[in-house]
Amino acid sequence: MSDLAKQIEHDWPEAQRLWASSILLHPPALDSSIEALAYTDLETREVFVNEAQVENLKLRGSVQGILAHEIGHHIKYPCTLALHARLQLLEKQLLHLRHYSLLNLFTDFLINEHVGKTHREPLIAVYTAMGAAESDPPFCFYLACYEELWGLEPGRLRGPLARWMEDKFPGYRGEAQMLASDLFNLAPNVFTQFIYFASVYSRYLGLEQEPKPFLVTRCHGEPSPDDYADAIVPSPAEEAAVERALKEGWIPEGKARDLTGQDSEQDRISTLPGVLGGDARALPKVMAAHYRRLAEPYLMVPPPEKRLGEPIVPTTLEEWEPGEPLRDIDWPATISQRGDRYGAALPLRREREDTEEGVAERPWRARIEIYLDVSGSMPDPKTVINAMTLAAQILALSALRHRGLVRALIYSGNAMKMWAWVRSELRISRFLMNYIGGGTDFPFKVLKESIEECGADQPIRAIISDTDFDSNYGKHQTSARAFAEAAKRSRPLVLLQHGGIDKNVRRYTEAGARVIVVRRLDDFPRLAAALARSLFGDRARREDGGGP
Amino acid sequence: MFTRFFGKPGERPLREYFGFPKRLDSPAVVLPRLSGILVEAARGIEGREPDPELVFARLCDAFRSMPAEPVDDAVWKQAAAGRAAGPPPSEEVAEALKIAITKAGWRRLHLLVESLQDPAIHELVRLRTAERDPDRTAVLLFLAFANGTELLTIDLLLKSPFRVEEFARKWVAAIGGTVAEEPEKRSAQRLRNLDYGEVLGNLQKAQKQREEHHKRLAEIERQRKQEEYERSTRE
Repeated sequence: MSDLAKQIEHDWPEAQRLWASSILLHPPALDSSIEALAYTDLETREVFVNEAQVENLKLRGSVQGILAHEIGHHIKYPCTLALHARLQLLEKQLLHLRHYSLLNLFTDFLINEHVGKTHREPLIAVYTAMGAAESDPPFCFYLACYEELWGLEPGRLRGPLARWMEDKFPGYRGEAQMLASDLFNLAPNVFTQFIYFASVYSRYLGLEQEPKPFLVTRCHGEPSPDDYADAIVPSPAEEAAVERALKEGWIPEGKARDLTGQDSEQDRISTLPGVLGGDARALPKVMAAHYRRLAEPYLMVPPPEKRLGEPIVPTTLEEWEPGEPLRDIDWPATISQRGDRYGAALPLRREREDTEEGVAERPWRARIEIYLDVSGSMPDPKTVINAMTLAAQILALSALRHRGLVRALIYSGNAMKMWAWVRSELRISRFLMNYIGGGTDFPFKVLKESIEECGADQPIRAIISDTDFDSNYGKHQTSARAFAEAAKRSRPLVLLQHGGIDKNVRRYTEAGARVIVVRRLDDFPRLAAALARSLFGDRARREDGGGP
Repeated sequence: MFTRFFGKPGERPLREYFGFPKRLDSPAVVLPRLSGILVEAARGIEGREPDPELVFARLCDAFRSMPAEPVDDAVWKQAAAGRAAGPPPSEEVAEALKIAITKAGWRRLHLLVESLQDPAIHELVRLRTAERDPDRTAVLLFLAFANGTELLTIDLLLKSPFRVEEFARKWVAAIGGTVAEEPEKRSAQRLRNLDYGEVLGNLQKAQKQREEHHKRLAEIERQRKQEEYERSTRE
């Protein structure tokens, strides 16, 4: 064990006590390959210390302060990846940075204010040893804020950069002092603190070129799709923060509208990683989670499921077989019919039935096959809320909440299908995030094959499209035939059509389909919910004797 | 504004404006203790109407305990109304004493009188009253200081530990005291850094650049949105 490892072992409990009397965290690991001096992983809840940097910069005396700082990330700022995701999206909306981020500086500053009460000199030693660079003016300003916070003489942490800062950013010291003085008064709303922090720092960020980040310690962790999906809708605390920020003049009115106004959700979606840049791999999962949240208010609560009835009414006699329950044997009937000797060897059992006819029958399970139009006339659901996709999500989730099964197909000029029947909300909602764009060509061939494949056990079929469907329908005679066949055999075939034209609607209705004309795109979710109620609700089941 | 009356901090020792050329090294003031007393006093007066009679009575009590002659009622009232008698030690103090003390000024006076609970402040004021008559000391020190720190309102002091430190350091400097465990040079520099008037001046400079920055930022954002719109319509 190295000397540093021994020191860490010794300092770790003391560093934890700075935040709480009992914390369950892994002991820190030494890793000289990390870029920063120390590193916190919020996903694994681990702390790493860069042994080589600590030794090279002669920071052994600061180890307890560094550990206390890293623990602060786990305990308070940001503490959870859900909060990290919210701050991340808020930052993107405020500053439109592509690579640079103020979040680490922000959380570090809040943490160091607390740690600095007892470990001021060790922290000063860290920042003095690390220095600063002209390439990162926000970091230079950040050091000025520490100089003010800790009452140090100007330039103590930044050395010769103090003069350069005054030339480039006149009056920066006043701002640093105000920030160091006022930021902590804005607690406990961390969003208010962050908006204020970002509004002050915005002046130090380059307009054309983003600064090159100067890394001292780092807090990292990738929020989950659910964390990001949660963060798309501003929380009440964020709304309060924006209101305060507007009142204080930290942000202009237009920005406040972007943050919490009617279109704030769309503005936030555009800041998700992968929409306008960055790693897009998680985007479909994030948006699927968001669509599930949007669909939730439209989903009806399924009625309590009826249990199988208790069979108590005696009916016919059958031979009792060894292994069957002894209580089923009807001894009086056995003795009277077979006598005591023969009856004892070959007893009869009494069949019993439920008192209410039909109750004992297994509840009906819905199956729905969804055809979703994702042609170019509708936006990519991963970047903008697509009302037709949301309608498909509502139908799918409604079926699944009623213990049903779903399969789906998305189409434009081509089709993409998830054709195995699934019970997973995650799988179906993520599949529905796919987008093709381009022209529209309804896959009548797939529809025909599905009818053949399902045989006597046809599912509910729902087509979600717009008036493009009319031209697809009229293109070939076979299309109309496949449609009519589907309308006849599906249980039922429903067409949710945006902007449906009367004469075409009549044609589909006459073919046997149910057509729901959606006048405004905004009506899609509501009408999909109404359709789901009619398809999977209790009434539909009773009317059709077990299935719609 | 303090700077208005007494110039930029550091240009000249603050005590000299009040007519105290000599620095009193002993006793040194323990700054956190003084700050604590000031914050406590600020909390006590926050949101309340100041009681000038009570402030004056407590000042007189403090003077008696030094022991020094209590302040003459007529001299005090006249000075508080902006009509101080006698030649002032500096033009700046004369300017500060031309103003009738406001409610906010009475609140600050309450703080100054409460600061006499600190033994070091009490002793420093006692030494200063011994240099000249108590009436003059009270008027020049307490009234001029309370008027000269008009930016440091009670609300601000309660919000910011920086401003409490500024108030405390200025008060110590005005009576010609020293801060415990701190070289004089460091005290002077810290006072310069803390000056709220200076900070506000800095903020004005920063604000000019910030406005320009925000205009350009808004333009860049507008362009970005336009590009996004064009991209989405192409798709």
